[in-house]
Amino acid sequence: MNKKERKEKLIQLFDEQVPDQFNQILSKCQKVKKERKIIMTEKRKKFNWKLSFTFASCILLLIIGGGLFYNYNLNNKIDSIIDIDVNPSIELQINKKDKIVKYVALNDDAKNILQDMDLKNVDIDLALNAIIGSMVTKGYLDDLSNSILISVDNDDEVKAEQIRQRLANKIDSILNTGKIQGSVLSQTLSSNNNLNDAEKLAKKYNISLGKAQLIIDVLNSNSLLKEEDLVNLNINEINVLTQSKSNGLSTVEKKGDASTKAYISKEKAKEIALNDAKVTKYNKMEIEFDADNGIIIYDVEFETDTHEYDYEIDAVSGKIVNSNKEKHDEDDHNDYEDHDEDDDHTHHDTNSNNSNNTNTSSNFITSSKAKEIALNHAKVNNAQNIKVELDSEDREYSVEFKYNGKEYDYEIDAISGKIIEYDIEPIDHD
Amino acid sequence: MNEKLKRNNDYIMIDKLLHQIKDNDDDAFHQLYLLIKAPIYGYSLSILKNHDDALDNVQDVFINIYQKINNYDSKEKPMNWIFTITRNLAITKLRKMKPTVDFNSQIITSKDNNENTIWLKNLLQQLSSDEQTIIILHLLWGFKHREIAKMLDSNLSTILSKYHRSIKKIKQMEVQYE
Repeated sequence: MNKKERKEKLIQLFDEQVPDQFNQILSKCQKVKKERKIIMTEKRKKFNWKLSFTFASCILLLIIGGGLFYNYNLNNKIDSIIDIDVNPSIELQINKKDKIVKYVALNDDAKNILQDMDLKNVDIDLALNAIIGSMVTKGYLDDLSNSILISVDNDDEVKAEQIRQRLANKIDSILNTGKIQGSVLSQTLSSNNNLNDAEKLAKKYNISLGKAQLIIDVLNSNSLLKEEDLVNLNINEINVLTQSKSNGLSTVEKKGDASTKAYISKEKAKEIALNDAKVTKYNKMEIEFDADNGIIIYDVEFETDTHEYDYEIDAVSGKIVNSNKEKHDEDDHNDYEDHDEDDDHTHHDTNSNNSNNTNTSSNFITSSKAKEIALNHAKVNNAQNIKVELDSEDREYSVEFKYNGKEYDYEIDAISGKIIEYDIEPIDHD
Repeated sequence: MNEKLKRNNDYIMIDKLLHQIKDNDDDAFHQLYLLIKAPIYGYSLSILKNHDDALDNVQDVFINIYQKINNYDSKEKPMNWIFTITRNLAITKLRKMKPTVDFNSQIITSKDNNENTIWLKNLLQQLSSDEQTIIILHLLWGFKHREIAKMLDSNLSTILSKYHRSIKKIKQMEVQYE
């Protein structure tokens, strides 16, 4: 059996295991759609209630002839919803006059903050002062954990954006007065069309809509992270993670950097890993923050001439959570279709930037030839970060490089040297 | 080479189907289902280790695709998008049933005892959990080894060596059954 036959056989085997349940699935989908419609009408009903209230008050207005009730209605009509997340998560509903109509503690930490406050009818700026002050006193915001997220939901996108800017600046200045170098994340929720996902996530994990939206933003730009790893983190932890990953956030504005003072330094993490591995000389080293089961870890990867190491280190305690060591030489068997595989036939060319003729299979073009083919095709002669990898099973080279703000990705047939596929993308800077 | 081209066509085709689903085309949804239920089932089975739960997950994945279809963007490779959904749902399920499932526990396939099911069961028993995942991601999903390395937080050479080990085992089985 060759690869293609084997592949088809496997697909068939797995496919047979799944009876066609499409009709069932479709009817479930349609049911969900209906339910969603009901939720939406309920939302609208709420709105209608407000409308009818206005209507009723208009009649009353006529009867009584005073502006009293109109005023009452204006005071109680919710104009914007503001979510504040640190680890305490608080929802503030404010009217057009920026006075708080209703406020909700979304978790236990929030109850702790709000327990001795009465914020009703209080101006939003004053309330923020009180809330943030209490967060500082109670130790939720300090030099070790300095991130706060504010999310503004208003049907009018322009207004939402204005409120976001104003409140983000306000929070920043409150923190400055308290001598805390804050990292203020802010976003508007109204303009976001992914809000359905955020609503689901918020409901599922009982978190604020703002935090859910932040998590979705992080997941969208880092496909290796998982929602379960993020939901239990506080805003500073999420902020630290996004700071470390190359792709930042797309819909969230940020002022000031997340504090990493609670964590051991990168150098310390590196030292712990190297000591444990008893390695002094290494070729390549990569360290970044990562999340695992609700804790922040350092992911430390390095290579020596013979081995590859991967360490996960608890960023607070410096304890090694996980480690892995693998020998280079066991790798890269030359699976030249139905030949006997034998360790003598290995060739080695995983992440060489400049390997010439490391390939013992005489049928393959060299990695430098593959590189040349790609660069010639792209008409580029001074590319950066050139990476050539040989996938011997697929018998193809992958050539990646960066040039002039773009990322090039080529796949080249390792035997014929033909370009199988190529892809040019601008490098993400957001 | 041919296979490669075909796979690229699959990508284009799946992308097209997803856009049709966006426009409420239920036939396109059915076509997509028939086209990719095998990889989704295979990956779900490798995580959940159990036929019934894997079937449940296949259903949930398609319901999710339907609900989230407006978030799909052609900039992303369609199978990567679907894979993220599949993995997240499978892992959430696994969390819920965690005490009963051990990473290395044996896969329970369907109760049908036809020749093919038995073959599949034997095949999966031969492979370690990682090897199952790699074989399924490469052969069923069409992911490249280096993509798999990224997904599994591993490196290309480890993935390749595990892949070759699995292919060796599969070849041995093929000989036995011939």
